[in-house]
Amino acid sequence: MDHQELINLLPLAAIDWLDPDETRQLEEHLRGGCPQCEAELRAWRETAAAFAVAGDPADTGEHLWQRLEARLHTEAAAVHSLTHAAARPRRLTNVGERRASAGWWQGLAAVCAAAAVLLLVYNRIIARQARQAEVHQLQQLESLSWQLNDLRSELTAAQTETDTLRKVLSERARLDRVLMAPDLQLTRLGPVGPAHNAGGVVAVSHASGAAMIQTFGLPPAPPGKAYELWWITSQSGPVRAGLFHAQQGRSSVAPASMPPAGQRLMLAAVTLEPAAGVDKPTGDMYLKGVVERE
Amino acid sequence: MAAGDAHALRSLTLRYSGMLIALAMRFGGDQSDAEEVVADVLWQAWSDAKSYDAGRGSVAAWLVMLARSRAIDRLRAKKARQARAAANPPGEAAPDPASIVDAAQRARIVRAAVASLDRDERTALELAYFSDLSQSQVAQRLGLPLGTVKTRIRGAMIKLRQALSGQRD
Repeated sequence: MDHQELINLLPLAAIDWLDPDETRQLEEHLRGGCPQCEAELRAWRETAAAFAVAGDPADTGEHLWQRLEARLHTEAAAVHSLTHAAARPRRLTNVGERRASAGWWQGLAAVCAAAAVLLLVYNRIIARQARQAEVHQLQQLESLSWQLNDLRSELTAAQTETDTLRKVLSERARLDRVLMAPDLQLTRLGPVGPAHNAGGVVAVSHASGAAMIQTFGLPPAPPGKAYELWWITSQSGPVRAGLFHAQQGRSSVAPASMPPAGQRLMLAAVTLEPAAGVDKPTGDMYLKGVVERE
Repeated sequence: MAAGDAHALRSLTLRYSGMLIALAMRFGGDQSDAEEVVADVLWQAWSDAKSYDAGRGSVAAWLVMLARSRAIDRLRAKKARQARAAANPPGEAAPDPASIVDAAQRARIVRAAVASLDRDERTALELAYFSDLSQSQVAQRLGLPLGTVKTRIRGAMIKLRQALSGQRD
């Protein structure tokens, strides 16, 4: 639709008599800004208004004013009642009162709507704070959970260490018994091969039926390996006497098997073997000592 | 005119209620209905005066627009209630130059201009303005092509505007 066609619509627009498509096109045109059409439409509206009221006017000005004045008073009374929160339900008997009541209810509805909006905002704030508190509590719970896991690990390590110490104490107590025995027999072990500063002693008490080995200076056995003590006799050769592990920088004490009865002991030796032990020595020899005759 | 000023409401009422009631009555209502419509319109205009845009026309044109819209709404509600098929054809008001819009002389000129319109143009314009009929319904009612109806209405408006311009000059 070109500009002239739109201008031709203006008289009809002034009497609100365009179809929806014409209305839409004209409104879009006016929204785009057209001072000429705006001025024309304004003039046409004045013409339409003049036409509309060209008829015989009703002589009711004072009469209508009395109605509006009554409405004004009723409205003011309703506002006053609302202000003082003293409104009471009452039966409405005429149109004026019904309108005043409608105004009162509109005011009340506005207050209720405002209260509802405030309540909604308040609820959202509370919900947000609750979510933040929940997240904070979850974070605290997670932190406590980590701390608990750490404490459990520490406790497990402490229990393991306690077990180790108990075992060491037990073995040292056994060694002490052996060492205190009146038939104590000691065999000193000297370094052979790679551990030049290593040494040890094997204590045997036939009276207490116990034998112990204490070593020092041996390097820790590699994974899957262990040190094995041998009794070497003239009849059977090497006889297994026990497995043990060495600790870096510390002496190691371990129980040992009693020497085979009825056989002549010649040597005691330590070799590095598979962790499960073997029947005959296969690895390097680290320590060796001559068993003194009783 | 400011909301809260009872004198403004009284002035508005005394100045415009007569013509607005006459207008409202042309939409098929009785005096009581028309007063009801105009009372609402004046109350609305007084309490919501800030919605008036002087750039879009005079106060009279604004009140006429509000009254026509309110009268049509009331007419539609009445039709729905009474299940009537269509509004009655508009009646004709007797000329009375007193207290219309701005000046009695202008009202006389307008009425004279309306009276001088070609009968077909006047019928088309009155049917379009004082009823709740769409373009096609007016055309059907008049038994004319829509283009012809539009031409007649536009011609009537142009003559009225020229008459008003002559009055201003």
